[in-house]
Amino acid sequence: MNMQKISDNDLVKLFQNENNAALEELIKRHKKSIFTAIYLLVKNRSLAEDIFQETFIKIIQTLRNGNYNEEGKFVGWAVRVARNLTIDYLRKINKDVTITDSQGNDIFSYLVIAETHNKEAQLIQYQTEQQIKKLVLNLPEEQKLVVILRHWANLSFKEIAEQTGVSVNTALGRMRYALANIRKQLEENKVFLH
Amino acid sequence: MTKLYNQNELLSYYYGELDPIRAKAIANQFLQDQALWQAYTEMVQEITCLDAISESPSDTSMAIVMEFAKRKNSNLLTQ
Repeated sequence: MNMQKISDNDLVKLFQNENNAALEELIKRHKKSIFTAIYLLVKNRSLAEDIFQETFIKIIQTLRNGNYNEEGKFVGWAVRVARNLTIDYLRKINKDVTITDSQGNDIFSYLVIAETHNKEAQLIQYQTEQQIKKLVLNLPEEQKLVVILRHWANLSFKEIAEQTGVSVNTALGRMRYALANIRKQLEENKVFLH
Repeated sequence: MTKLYNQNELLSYYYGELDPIRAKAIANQFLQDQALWQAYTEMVQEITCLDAISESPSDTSMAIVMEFAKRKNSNLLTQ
């Protein structure tokens, strides 16, 4: 069976009939979106890994118990599960969990560069990505949430509006302000998009 | 940019959420309105730069999740 051609909803049904390959395909398809959404919410890679695991354990349990009755997109629901777990965690510890250096950079990001080749082009690209990441992480919360839900959770602006209790135009406006903020800051830092 | 279209509509257009009639009108307007096209391409650049920061979970996380899925399935099969 070619799993790549099967829709998310059909993969869910297959997994509920104990087909593990279907779950593997679902994870493979959406792992980046879901993990990035979590990472942007918690700002800490190590913690994001924990919440990613917890998210999928919860997803697996929900699917197995037959409690999945979403008519919308799987990834949107998965990010909502992740977001709820993140909020629970942050409430529990009630503090900012980011581990930063004196410049305010996430120290875990240094571990990534240590593993890459030391070529100038890769370094520039890496620095650009780090700048963008930092800008997204530091967006006002309501703007960041819309970016996460639209870009990584793949929810429509209408769905985002419903989930966050604002109008569609407000959701659109928040995304626009976020993008404008990112561009402005990049230009101020003389980083140019290609 | 022409006053006929606002930034929210361009954003909706990019994500394919604009109603078809309005979307067609914008697509036609792109051909005639350089400023509109410029605004749109800049916005697309901003959106696509987000892809550069996508992160992947570690192999360990993936292995833990898959192991959990397999174990639960095995339990069900032996019941």
